[in-house]
Amino acid sequence: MKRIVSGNQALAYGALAAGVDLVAGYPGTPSTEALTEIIRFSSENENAPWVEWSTNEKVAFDVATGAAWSGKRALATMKMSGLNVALDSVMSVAYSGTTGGFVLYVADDPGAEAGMPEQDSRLCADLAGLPMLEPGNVLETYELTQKAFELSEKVGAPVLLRLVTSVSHGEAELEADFAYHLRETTPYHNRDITRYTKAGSKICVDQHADLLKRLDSCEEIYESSSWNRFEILSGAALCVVSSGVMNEYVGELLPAYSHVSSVRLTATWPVEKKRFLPLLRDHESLLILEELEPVLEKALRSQAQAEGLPVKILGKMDGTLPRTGRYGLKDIRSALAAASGTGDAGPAPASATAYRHTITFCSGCPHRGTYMALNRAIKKAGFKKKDVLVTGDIGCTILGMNGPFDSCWTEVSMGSSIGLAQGFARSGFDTPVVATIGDSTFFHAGLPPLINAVQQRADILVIILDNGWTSMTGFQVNPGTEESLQPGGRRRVSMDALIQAVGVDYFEVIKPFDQDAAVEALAGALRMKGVRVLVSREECALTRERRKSFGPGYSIDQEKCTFCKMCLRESGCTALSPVQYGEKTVMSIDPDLCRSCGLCFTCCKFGAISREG
Amino acid sequence: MKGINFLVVGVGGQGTVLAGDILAEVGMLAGYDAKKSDVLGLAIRGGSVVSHIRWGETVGAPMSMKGTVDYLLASEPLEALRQVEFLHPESTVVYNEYKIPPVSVSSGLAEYPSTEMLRDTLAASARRVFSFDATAKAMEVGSVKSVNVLLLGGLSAFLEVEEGLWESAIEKFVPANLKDVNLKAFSSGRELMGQARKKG
Repeated sequence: MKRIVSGNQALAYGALAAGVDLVAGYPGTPSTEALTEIIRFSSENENAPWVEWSTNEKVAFDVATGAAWSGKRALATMKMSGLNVALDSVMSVAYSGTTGGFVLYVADDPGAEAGMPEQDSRLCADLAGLPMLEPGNVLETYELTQKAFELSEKVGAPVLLRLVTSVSHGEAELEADFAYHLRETTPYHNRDITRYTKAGSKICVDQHADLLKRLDSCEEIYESSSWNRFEILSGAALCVVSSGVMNEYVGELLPAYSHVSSVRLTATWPVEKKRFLPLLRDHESLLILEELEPVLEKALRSQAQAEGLPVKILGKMDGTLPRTGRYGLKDIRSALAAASGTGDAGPAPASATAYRHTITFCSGCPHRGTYMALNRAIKKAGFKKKDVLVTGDIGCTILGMNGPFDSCWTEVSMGSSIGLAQGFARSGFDTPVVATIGDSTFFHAGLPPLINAVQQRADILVIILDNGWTSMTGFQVNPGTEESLQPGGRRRVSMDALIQAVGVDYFEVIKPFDQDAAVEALAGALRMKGVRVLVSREECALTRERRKSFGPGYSIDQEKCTFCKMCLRESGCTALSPVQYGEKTVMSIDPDLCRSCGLCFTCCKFGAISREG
Repeated sequence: MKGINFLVVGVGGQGTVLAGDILAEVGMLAGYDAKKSDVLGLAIRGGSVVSHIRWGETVGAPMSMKGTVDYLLASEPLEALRQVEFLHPESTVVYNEYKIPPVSVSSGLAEYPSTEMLRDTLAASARRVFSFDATAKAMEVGSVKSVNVLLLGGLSAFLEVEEGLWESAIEKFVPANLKDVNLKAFSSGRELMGQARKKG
């Protein structure tokens, strides 16, 4: 069967073809759709692996480790930020190795399309001493995912499988059976504390030596595979070395050049040495094409130095290519032209026009109501908005940083809003410090800092914007999702019981679309001392829309509208826009976009907004 | 087989990704190597959605280089304008005239570019520029959600691909109950483009 699939889907079907037994992950752009596809598959097929969205990436990796240490094939999925969360366990498990095939899928995001640092997770392969495969297209992703399980079992180490956004989100044809190939295996785990524990220096140092041996054994496997393609032309002066998706760019552009050697890597860590040696010796220069950090470049520079070879190495460190951002065909074309001494004769593109797109909440989003209520409450409680510091967190809730709310001041990492707020509060500001965080983010990493706040008697207001889903990554379930919507009879964890059990000083649940009561509660909480937690609860408008209609929308009486624009200034709702009405300009509500939240209604002083029907 | 680069752009929620899916599928059915890459940013409605589709004998890079896009299909005028750097002197632009002002405009922080400026800029960067109110036409046909399929119908007038392939690709990607409305939208777009080309 032939289908157009994304890199993420190809990875999912590669894992299914390899008979993966357990899949665990946490959503994160651009990695999410790999696990989503396996969930979709398992909802349609009885014969499927165990698959779960875990509470966070470390939990996912630990769950997967348990399966891999039972001789099963396990897959953990996450974005690079999530790898950092899991890294404590990854470092430890790297020392122990694995018995079952264990693949850790990590997605990097050159260009930071989804926000967060331009982290290069190849450095984590170096740090943890783990082999890494980097497919550059859909077909390679499908095949190398299967090979990654075999490599893991052969070497005895977890294998990092790294995709970048343009591969994980890129789509192309895939010819496959799109089926699950279950392997009948019996779970086993040989109790061996010298391998599976870390208490004792000898145990750890021995494990470190084991790890290095496992890593060394990779080179021979890479040499005998077709994963790294060395096309060396005798007498060529230039050799182009690329990895992952850069191989695709080279494939497209190199045919225009004659007599240039090329090396295209998909098994990128450890960097092969033996096959690179003659190449470093026989070429005048090497052009290294890799996005983000000069990982390959450093390895080849250091090998050339160790061998005393004068080969000229062009890449990021000498300024041939930019250090930041995603590379496009244009970057690669310019680098090839520079390295081969030919001119860059491509078309000169027209200059771009800059019209900024501020991202904001969807129409009907409950977070809009929470931030509007917070702004109103700050005023009502007698504070100035510019004096009330609000720490934001990861996910949709951070959009409170943009206008017209202008609420969030900071964003660091999952759950960090609550810890950050404590440090700000201890720094001596005489106004309240507020942390805002979403439900999934709170479950992920918000609980430990909340426990800290209670123990340390911190003075902060925490607002949990609970929309019941992990929305920004595409509406995944989380521990707080309504029980009837949990897949396969899974349970809901009560956020309210959890928060109260921690022993916070004040707890209340508010409704973001009930503005008067929400403003009242928030203003009261702003004036209090101690650890105050307010949960602002209303389901994500987009998930709700899938199950039930919002009923009649709101509309604006154009006679009554004075075009004061308060509705837009306070709510910033995307359904609102100005229109001509006879001689005057008035506001109007797009009936296709209105989700009947009524927030604009609470802004109008002229009674011009009402609900239809 | 000469390669063709497409850019399909719109505002989140307009069905841009679906249109790209259909276009990639048509490429595959027509015997091309087809690749597609969406630039979505965040899964939030109202932001720019840019979908790169490339047809060719063999396609390497998932995204087109600036200055190499042959067809730009935009379901919103400003979204078309944002992409002029991808156009070349032989490009064709088809855009929907229905404006969806971004929040920066509706909140008064920025002004929406004038229709003349928009059209002139696009005309200066491409060979042919066609526009019509695809939103109004889609509503007339039965569903505002079919606006992108209607635009695809317009695009299809330029491509030497059997009409049946477009139909089977549309059937594959739209829900069964919306099949008829979308097929109607497609032929209506194709017809509109036929008229526009005669006029132009």
